[in-house]
Parts: sequence; C-alpha cells; structure tokens
Amino acid sequence: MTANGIYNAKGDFDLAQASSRGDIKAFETLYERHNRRVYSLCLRMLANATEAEDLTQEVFIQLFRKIGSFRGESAFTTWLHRMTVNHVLMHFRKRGVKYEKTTEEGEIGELQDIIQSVVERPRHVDRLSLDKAIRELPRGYRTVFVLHDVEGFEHEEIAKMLGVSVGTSKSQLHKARMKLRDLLNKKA
Amino acid sequence: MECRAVIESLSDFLDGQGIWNSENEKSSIEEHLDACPACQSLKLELTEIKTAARELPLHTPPQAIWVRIANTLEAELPASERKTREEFPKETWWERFKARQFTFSLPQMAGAGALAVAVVVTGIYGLSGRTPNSDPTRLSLTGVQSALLPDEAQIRAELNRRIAEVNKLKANWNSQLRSEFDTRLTQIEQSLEQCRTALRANPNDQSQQQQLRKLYEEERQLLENAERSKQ
Repeated sequence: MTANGIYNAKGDFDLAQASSRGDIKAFETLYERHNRRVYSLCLRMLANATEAEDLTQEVFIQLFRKIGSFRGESAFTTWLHRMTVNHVLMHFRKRGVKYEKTTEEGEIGELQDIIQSVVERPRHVDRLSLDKAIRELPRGYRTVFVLHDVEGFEHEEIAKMLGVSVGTSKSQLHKARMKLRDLLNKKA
Repeated sequence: MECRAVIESLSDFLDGQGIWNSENEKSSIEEHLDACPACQSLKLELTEIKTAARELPLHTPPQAIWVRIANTLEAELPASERKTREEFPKETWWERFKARQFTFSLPQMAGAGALAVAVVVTGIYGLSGRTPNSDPTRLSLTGVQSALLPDEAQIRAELNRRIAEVNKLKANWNSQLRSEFDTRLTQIEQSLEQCRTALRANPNDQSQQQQLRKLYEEERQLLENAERSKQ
C-alpha cells in the first residue's frame, strides 16, 4: 500500500485534484497522511473505538465523493477536520441524541472541595491520562472541550455547529475543564 | 473579589474571552489571583489541561479501514472513470536505488554475513532433500493451492495456531472482552477476504500484496495481545 516517493512529495491540493479525477493512489496518499488525525478526532468525540472506526471510514468515503469541491482556499487539513466534525455531529443527530447541556452529572463541585483539592496536587498533566479522562466526560462537555481545546475551534463556530449560544459553549468548556481536573486528580 | 466569582470566570480569563464590565473587573481577578494561592494554583491546573489538550497523542486506526474504503470506492467509481494508471509517474527501482545512500556499520555487516551463511546452509539442505527441524504443521501447509503470497501458508498456519491458543483462553474472559475480540477478528478476516479476492483478480497488484501482509500483521498483533491477557 505504500505510496511511492513521488506521490508522497505532492502537496494535498495536487493529490486532491488527482483524486477527483479517479486516481485512487493519490487518495490513498491523502489517507495515509491524514487518517490518524481524523480517527483521533472521531475517537475523542465518540469515546467508542468501533464507532470511531466506522465514522473514519464514512468520512473518507464522503471525502472522496466531495474532493472535487476542494478549491485550496483553506488548508486541506482545516477543510477535512470541518468535514469530520460535521459528520460526527450528524451521526449524533441521526442517533437522536440532542446536544446535552450537562448540568447535574458534571456540576462543578463545592468551592471548599475545589480549594482543598488544590493543595499538594501533582503539577504535571500527563497527556495519556488526559486522553483517557476526556473519554469519561459527559458527552456535552466532551464535544465542546474536543472542539475548542483539542481542535482549536472558536466558541462562535462551536455555537453555530451545535446550535447553542456562545455563552453555553463557554460555560460547557469551563465545566469540562473543571471535570477533567477532578478526574485527573482522582487518578493521580 | 471572592474565590467563587474568580473560579467561575477563570476559563474566560485564560482564553481572553471575558466580556468584562470594566477594566477594573479584569484587574480585580488579576489581583485576586496574585493574592490567593488556591485560585492561582487552580489557574495553573486549567492552563496545563488547556496546553496538554493541544499536544494529545494521535491514535492509529486499524489497517482494515483502508481496505474497506478502497473497496467501496472501487465499487462505486464508474468503470469509465477508473484510472488504469496513476497520474504521477512511479520511480523505477533503479531510481529509488540510486537515490539511497548505503552506509553499513560493523554489526550490520556482521548480521548480513550471518544471514548470507544461513541462506546458503538452508539452500544446501533444501537441495539435498533434507528438512532441518522438520515441522509437521509447516509440512502440512506447503500444499496450500490458494496462497497469494509466497509465505502465506506459513503465516496462516501460525495465525491458526495462535487462534487455537486464544480460544482456550477465552473461557476465562468476560463476555464484553470476548465480544470485542470476536468483532475485531471478524473485521480483519473480512478485510483479508476482500483483499484476497482483489488479489485473485489481479495477482500482480503489489499494493494489494502489501495490504494483505499488513492485515496479517494486524491479526498477529491482535492475537498476541489476546495471548498476553492470560498473564
């Protein structure tokens, strides 16, 4: 399956153009280049490996169908990530899961508890532990946290994608971070 | 300003997103953070989470996904639009060879020498009709007619042996683990079958040959991990 050196040397735009004309080898090179980011994004948003695999597959099939519409106005990665996020959100809608504003399960703890837990906490956030803790977040928190802190979307974009207010997006992000902090401290 | 108000505004403060009623409000938060070790420490924790989130490790999807994607695309692409050749010319093996710079260390040369000796010895045994370390499993599989890779019979035999081992262990697994393992193995086997079908149609397709090897490797890793579960 290894794409040869010439394909690897091509930029995303050239490969996208060739893919749109039916060159599977070019598309395979794009897959090799981007599959890990797409899969990781799916995995983090869904917190389920089997579903993440299925959606990664669907995203790349959809990508192939739409690749002719990529004009190179934005970075290919940005375009692909937006497509992935939309696909995952569509998946949530199809399953009939509405965006949830988590208020009970992940309510920020009491002030005294927060202050108490700050004392003598470990100073370093381990990335692997954080990765695992994200999967334990309630879905509403997880979605906003992944989109904002992991993928770098702005609150305005997130609010539009999720159909919520900017204030809700900000509030969910704060609660997600506080919940993650709790989860990380418990594991430490 | 009180701790609670500061904590509630902390993420906005970190992201520079706050709609502060006045510059004084922002200054109040800064002053509180300077004076309150608990809130200052919380701010550091949230900053670390935010920073670490941008550096999370990437996960690699199973190899079988590409096989499924490629098969779907091949099936839905009209025959008239299918490229029989790739748009970008391939490097010839000679160009690839020329582009490489070969430098060998002493241990590498020693290893290569040992390998050469092993190949010669094996060849001599083979020509004389003797089989060193006769392995009944291997012998019974040399006659597989449908092998699409030169060593596929051996690979399959090894995997079958491991599957038999894992099947013994499965009795001790919980139902969820058993189900996950079975699903994963079935997916790989299905991808293998699709890949083999494509190879039967075009036995010289190097891309599919490599794909087949990767899928076998994926199955081997799955079984290896499953075998470790006994420990």
